[in-house]
Amino acid sequence: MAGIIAFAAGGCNLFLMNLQRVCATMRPMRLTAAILMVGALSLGAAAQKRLVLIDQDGSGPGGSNQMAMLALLQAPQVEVLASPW
Amino acid sequence: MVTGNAWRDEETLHTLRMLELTGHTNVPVARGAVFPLIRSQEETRLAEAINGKVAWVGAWGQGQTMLLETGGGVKPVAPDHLQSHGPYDVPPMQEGLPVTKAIEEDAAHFLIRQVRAHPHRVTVYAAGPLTNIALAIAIDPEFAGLTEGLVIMGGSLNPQTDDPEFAASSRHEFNFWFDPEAAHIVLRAAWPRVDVTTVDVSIKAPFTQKMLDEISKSSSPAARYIAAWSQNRYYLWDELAACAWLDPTLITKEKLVYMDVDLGHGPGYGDTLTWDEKFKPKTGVRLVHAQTDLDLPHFQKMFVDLMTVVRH
Repeated sequence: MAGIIAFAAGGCNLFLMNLQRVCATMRPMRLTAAILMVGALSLGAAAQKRLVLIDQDGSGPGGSNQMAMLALLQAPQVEVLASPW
Repeated sequence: MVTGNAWRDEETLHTLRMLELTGHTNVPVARGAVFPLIRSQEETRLAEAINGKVAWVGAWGQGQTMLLETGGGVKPVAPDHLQSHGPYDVPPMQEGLPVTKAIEEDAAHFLIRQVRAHPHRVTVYAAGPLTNIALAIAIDPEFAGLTEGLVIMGGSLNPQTDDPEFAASSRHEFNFWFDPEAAHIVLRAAWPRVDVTTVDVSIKAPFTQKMLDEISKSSSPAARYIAAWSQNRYYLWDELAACAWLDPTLITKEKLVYMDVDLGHGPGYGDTLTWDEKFKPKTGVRLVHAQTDLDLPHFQKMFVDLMTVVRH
C-alpha cells in the first residue's frame, strides 16, 4: 500500500534505535570517542524526524497486512503526516 | 496499494475502512499496480501443471490459511479449495464500506514525489509485491538513492520448518514470487541500506491466542479492530518488518548477503537467490541485511503494546 507517510519523532525508542546503530558501526572506536559522538547525536535526535512510506498489499479485514500498517501508525514515536503536499 | 494477497481495489477499501475504524483517516491512500510486471495469472496456472502447485497465490486464489496452536508449536491449515474473483470485483465487506476515498495520484508517483520532497530522509517500507517501487525506480532512476533506505518483507534463505509451503521450497516466498521482475529491479537499485525480513525469521513469530487475548482486553480503536477482524492467526511477517524498523534490537541475527530473484521461467521462477562476496555474479547485485532470528518475547510485547496504546 503506497500512500502513507509517517514522521517518526525523536522519541526515546527511536533514540535508542539510533544509538544501537551508531554503536554497531563504531566497534573499533574508543569508548570515550563513542560517548562523545552519542552525546552529539542525542542533541540532534530530539530535533530530527524520520519519515517512512508504506508500500504493501492490504487484504482485510484484519490480518497481517492491516496489522503491520497499524504497527507503524500506532507507534508512539511516529507522527503521521496528514497532508504531505 | 499493490495487488498481492488480494486485488488492489478491494485492498484499498479494506485499508481505508481500517483507517476509519482506528482513527487514522488523516493518512492518504494511493492506488498502485493491479498486475505484476511480467507474471500473469494464466501462465502461472498453466505452469502448475508442469512445475507443481504453489501453496499461496494471493489474489489469484484466496483462502484463509491459519495456524493451529498445538502443544508449544503451530501447524498451518489451508483450505482445500481457494476462491478467486476478478481484479475489479469487491466482495461484500464484513467491516462495512469506507466513506473516505483514495487519492487520485497513483502510488508510484506518490512515492517519487514524497521522496523528492524529503531527500535522503525517507525509509520505504515494502511489505508486499514490489511492483509499485519498481515502477517508481523505472520512472525516476534516482528514486532509490534519494531515500534513507528500504525495508522489505520478502525472500527466504533456509527456513527451519515443516510448514509445507516452505519445507519443500526453502527459497520460495510470496512477495518475491508474485512479481519476480519487480523484486529484481528493486534489489539492484542504489538504496543506501536494505533490510530484509525473511521467511526464516517470520515463521518464528506466530500470532498467538495469548497475544490476541491481551490485545482484546484493550479499548483502543486498534485493539477493537483487531479483536473484531483478526481472529484468523498466522505468522506476523509484515508486523515484524515494521517493528524491526522501529526497534532494530528485535533482530538478534542477520546475514549480509547479495540478494536477487530467479527470473528463469522454470520451477524456481521467483525464488530467492543469494551469494557471498566470493561467489557473487558481476552483474550489479547488492548487499542486504537478511534477518534470520529475533527476540520473540520482546517482539510480542512490543506488538501488543503498540496495538493497545490509545493514540490522540
